[in-house]
Amino acid sequence: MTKPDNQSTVLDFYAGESDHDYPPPDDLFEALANSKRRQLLLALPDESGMHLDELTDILVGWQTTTDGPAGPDEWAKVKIELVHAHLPLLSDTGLLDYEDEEITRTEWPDPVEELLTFAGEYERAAVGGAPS
Amino acid sequence: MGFGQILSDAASQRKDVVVYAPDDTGNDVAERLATRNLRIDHRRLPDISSESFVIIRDDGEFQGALSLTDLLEFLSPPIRRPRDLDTLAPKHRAIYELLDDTVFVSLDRRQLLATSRELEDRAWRTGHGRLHAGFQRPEAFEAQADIYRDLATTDIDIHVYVPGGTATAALSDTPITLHTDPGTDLDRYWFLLFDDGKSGAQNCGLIARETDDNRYHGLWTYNPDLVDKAFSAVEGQDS
Repeated sequence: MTKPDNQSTVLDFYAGESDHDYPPPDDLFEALANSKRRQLLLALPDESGMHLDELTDILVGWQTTTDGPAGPDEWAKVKIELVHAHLPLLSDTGLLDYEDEEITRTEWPDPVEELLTFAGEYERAAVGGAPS
Repeated sequence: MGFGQILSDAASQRKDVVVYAPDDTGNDVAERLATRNLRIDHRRLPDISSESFVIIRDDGEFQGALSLTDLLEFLSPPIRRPRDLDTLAPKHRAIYELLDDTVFVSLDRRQLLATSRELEDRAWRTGHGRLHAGFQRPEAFEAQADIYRDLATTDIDIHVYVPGGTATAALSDTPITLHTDPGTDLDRYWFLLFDDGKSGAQNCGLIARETDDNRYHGLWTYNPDLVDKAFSAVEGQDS
């Protein structure tokens, strides 16, 4: 990532690429202002999609490393939360596509990618272990 | 339903376990789980957490999730239920109940003895109910006779099954009921069944059959229904 000769910022540089959609900042930061949504975004593979059930498994599984075992009731609760709140919001923000229970990452602009990576690192540093 | 049927029913209830772990811990886990009746699948855990966990499914349906640390603690013989299972929230109990009648494929004599000790301790701490213990050989019982003499000082109704029954003399001054001719189905098994006579919260059982090389195949359980079935198997043979 080299800085162009003029004094423009990194973001100006990215904006110049213009091959990705930039989510409006308020939408983006609202999307990231929730630990479940950050985990969800970080759990999605780069290349392929993920089924809703598997995504639910991972989010419930992470929870067990801090909160102890989880049963079918918790699993159902997390799945409902995903379907009714988190996935529609992230889909509206343009960060993922959600169709027929299959969730796929969209192509994120580099600053979004970096922000997510930073959020993951920050969480590890602040909380330690699994994000909660 | 005899012990043979109980074991084969349990063996057929094979569950799927998906282990989410960072790259390098996968093999260890498979090794630790190899003695259990589980079909194991590995997925690589996304980078954001180093904590491993497992998902249990039965016929594709989600049954439960727990951290790998909790699972390994649960699976290590001697079987001790996590500190105070009886006081755990129902959702936590459900996970352990789900796993605890999982057949172990193979344990050695030392591990089985340790597991028996855990069940006998549980009976001792409870102090009432009934305990049926089966030994394959008189010497096997004689090595444990002191433990049973101690258990006989509680209110537990104790039945001991010893083919040949040479230990009679050692128990003649205790209220223990000795069965010297358990029948050909029972005398092939090492078993220990405890029913607390009240809520069933302390019920537990172990049924094992020697295979070869001093190894055993069988199950242990805290599932009251399964313990009931096992008691029926014993009482149907020898009433």
